[in-house]
Amino acid sequence: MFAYVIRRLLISVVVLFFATIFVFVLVAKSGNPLALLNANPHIPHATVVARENLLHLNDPLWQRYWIWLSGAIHGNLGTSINGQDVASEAMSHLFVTLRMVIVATVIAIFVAIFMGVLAAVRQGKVTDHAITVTNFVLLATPIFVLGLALKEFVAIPINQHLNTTIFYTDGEQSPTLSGSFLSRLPDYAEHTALPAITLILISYASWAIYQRSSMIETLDADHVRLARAKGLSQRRVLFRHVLRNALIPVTTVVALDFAAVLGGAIITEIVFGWQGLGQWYLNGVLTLDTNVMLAYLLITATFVILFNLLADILYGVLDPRIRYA
Amino acid sequence: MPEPAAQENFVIQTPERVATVEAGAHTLAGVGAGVELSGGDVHGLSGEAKSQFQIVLNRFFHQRLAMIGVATFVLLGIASIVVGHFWQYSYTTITNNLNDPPSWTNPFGTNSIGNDMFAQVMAGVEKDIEIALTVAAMATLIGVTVGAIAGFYRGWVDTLLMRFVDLVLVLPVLAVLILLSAKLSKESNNWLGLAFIIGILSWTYVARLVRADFLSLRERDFVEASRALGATNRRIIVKHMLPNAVGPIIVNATLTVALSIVFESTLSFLGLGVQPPAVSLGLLVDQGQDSATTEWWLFVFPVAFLIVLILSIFLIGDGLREAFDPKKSRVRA
Amino acid sequence: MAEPALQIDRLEVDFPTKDGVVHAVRGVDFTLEPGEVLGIVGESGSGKSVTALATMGLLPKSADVRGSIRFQGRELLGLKEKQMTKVRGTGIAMIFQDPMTSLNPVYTIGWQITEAILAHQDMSKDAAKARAVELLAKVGIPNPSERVDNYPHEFSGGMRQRAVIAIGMANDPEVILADEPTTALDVTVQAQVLDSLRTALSETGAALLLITHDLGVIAGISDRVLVMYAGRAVETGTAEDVFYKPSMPYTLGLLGSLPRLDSDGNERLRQIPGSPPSMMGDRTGCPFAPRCPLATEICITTEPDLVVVPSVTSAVGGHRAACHFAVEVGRGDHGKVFSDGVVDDVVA
Repeated sequence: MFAYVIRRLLISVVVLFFATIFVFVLVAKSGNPLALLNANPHIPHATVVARENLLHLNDPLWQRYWIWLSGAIHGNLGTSINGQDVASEAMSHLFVTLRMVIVATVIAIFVAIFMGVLAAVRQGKVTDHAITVTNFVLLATPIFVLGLALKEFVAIPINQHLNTTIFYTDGEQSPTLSGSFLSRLPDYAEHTALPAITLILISYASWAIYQRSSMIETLDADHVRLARAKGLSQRRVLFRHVLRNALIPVTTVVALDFAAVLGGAIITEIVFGWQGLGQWYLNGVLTLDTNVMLAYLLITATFVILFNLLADILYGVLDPRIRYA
Repeated sequence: MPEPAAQENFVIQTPERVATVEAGAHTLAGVGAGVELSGGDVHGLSGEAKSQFQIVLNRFFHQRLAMIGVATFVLLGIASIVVGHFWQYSYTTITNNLNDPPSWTNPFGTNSIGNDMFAQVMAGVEKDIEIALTVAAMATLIGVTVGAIAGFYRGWVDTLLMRFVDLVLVLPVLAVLILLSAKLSKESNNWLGLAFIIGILSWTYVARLVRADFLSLRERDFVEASRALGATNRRIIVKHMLPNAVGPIIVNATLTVALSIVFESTLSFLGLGVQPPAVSLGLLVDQGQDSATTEWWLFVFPVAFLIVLILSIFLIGDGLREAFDPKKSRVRA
Repeated sequence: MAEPALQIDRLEVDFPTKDGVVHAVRGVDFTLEPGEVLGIVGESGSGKSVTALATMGLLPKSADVRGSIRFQGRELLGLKEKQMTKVRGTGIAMIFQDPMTSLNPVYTIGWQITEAILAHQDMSKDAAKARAVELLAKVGIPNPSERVDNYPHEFSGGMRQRAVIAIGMANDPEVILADEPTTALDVTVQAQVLDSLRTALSETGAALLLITHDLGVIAGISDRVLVMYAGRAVETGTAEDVFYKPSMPYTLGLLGSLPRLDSDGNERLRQIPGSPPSMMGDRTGCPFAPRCPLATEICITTEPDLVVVPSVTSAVGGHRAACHFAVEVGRGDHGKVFSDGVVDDVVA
């Protein structure tokens, strides 16, 4: 097992390295970072030249890459178009996004497993149909549609009905928030509720569908039949032999989907006005702020690779056959 | 049917035969070797042999939900074209009615500039379908080619291609799309470019799928046989292996259609996709989001059509999947 | 006289499908005495597996099971699931065909044996594990104390099946149902597995219901034989009865289709022409009639009942066959029944 983990870790580092190259080339080829500055008559030529030098735009590509990468390893991600330190900006935005994403992903996984199992065990009955139909409709709803719909047709009416705001629809926290972390928690919760629910509903739907079909297939399996033939109780068969095995493919699916969850977070942040990483990135793209774009893609890639590594390890725990692969 | 006369034949006993049987029985008991009986199906149902294509098609048509999906999708497609040509308003027409709720003249109301929403929504549907089909065609073509090559040749070709796929998938598709489409929208307003961008990011799933299929198909005997008969690699791939992998490819292509609508509408919502004066459902949702509670028709109709369009494609895809690979419980005899 | 271990009367099993009702088992009776080995022979679709699954209560809920299945005098049909779990694995154990998929790949062999033990016996985990090692040794697994911590994918096919047998004998059952235990294995491995099966029987004193389509396996281990065709028993008797005096054309066909070491190699393998009938719809006449060269008018109109035929062993009434011409067939020239006229000329 240990050897397996080390192997996956090394592979992850290699992938991350190649990802940095890919990211850099992608951003470098995406347009002239000086274009916006040049188009703005209010910006003195000197500023533009300074920016050009800062980004080493006159150097060959591979050199620029190396400068950026060596800076990144030391925690220096350059400055943004406004002269801000990208690294610290990124960190604060990252924590905002992580709040939403982690809560949403964890809850979505549990709900998906529960619903998937429920639908499979009651296959063909009303419960199953209701769950499956809901999942399909959720799956067919783009995130921005769901976010907007929840905002306009759920949050606002509820708030109006209760005459107080419990579902905040704009921003990740109240602007004048202060105090200890514990006292700020309810405010965080109220602001996080709606975006998290949006993300949860979208992610959960596809995972639940997958879990259900994985369960249905496993229920029919030979080893389940033998388990029953051993005289084990229904409950034990369901948990130890069906669910335990059916969880394995779902692990892969959730891992593969994590990048999509992060993509969904971008949209959710925009719909609900969060000052998160995704919204910061979109702005960076629109202003061709090279360092911002690079920072976002680098951080995202790192998280996706990290998550995949965790999923690989989990897979190894769940399925002994993999450990020797 | 044997005639009754046959009965008499077997009553005759030949000494050698009887002895042989008895000897044989002893042999049986000693050896313990077995021979399989010629078995048959539980259902020895007779019927003419149907081609695989017909069987799958048959199964597909028997699925109620899939048929609803097909009907809905076809209806939307036809309606969007018909409305585009024959409706009294085109989606660019400016009428004098501003922000009108649904009425007989404007079934979906009008927006703040005076455009007829019905025409706009239908134009959006048409544009979305156009883009989606283009993306799916492109993504499938690229994906099948890459996957087939990787799965067939294996070795370093496979490793290289697959590592590349993995790399592309490390970044959220949306993030890359945002990057590429921002660049695109500055340079041109052509929806083809948009389709191209979405297409080059969508082929990865198909490639993985086809590769997995080809890896297993490659080991099958019929590939060996074709090779022994002197078939070139290309011929083996195209004529023998692809037809066997066709099922999942078609299902995946359908899902790609649905996914590309999601991507395109998201980009349009962000202002990076289809640009005005052209229309897409995502764009309409973006334009209508602030009026959701006041001028509800500007929001509800685009949203509803978007969801219904995507849902119908999902139903088709799921029906196709079931048709190619039925998962009904089997009885073991 | 002691209660039979298993008594099955008038067992009928129907499966509703979207194309119609499948009559998988159409009235089967037999008795399994304590310690005896009964072999059930038949093609796929003859209903033999379904019979075993019905005994264990492992058929899908949609199956319609009628008749009576008594285990040591106790009626099993109609028992609630909770009561059945007290019979399975400890009173009646079952082993299945494919050892690759029968064992759960994510748990060790030892864990799976221990699980079976602890489900029915009160003992500590360590004691159960020790017993598991013991059982593995009994079925012939080398190095059992190390092997007990292996995962199924670390065992070969034959070893896996022997592990399954170990699970089967773990709680000293009175009846073991073995559904095609050797079919998925190489011939050389089959003998080892059958040996393990014999050990299981001698250790537990259980009766064995061995289901297979392999006549050689049957001949080697069975006391009595039941031949099934199209959901019914078409011949029953001791092994000697059925092998030396087959009294039903189907049985003849089975025996005749075996390649024989004493043949001179010029004879073509005799096959039974045609294929088994559809199990749907109502039936008139003998289901084997379409493939039987002896079929006459009465065969098409009336399904034959099991009639008593002469027995090689002394048990009166022990040998029965379902054929209108059972007695004649039993007396008759077996070699000629399915002979291909052309081949005979050549050989003669």
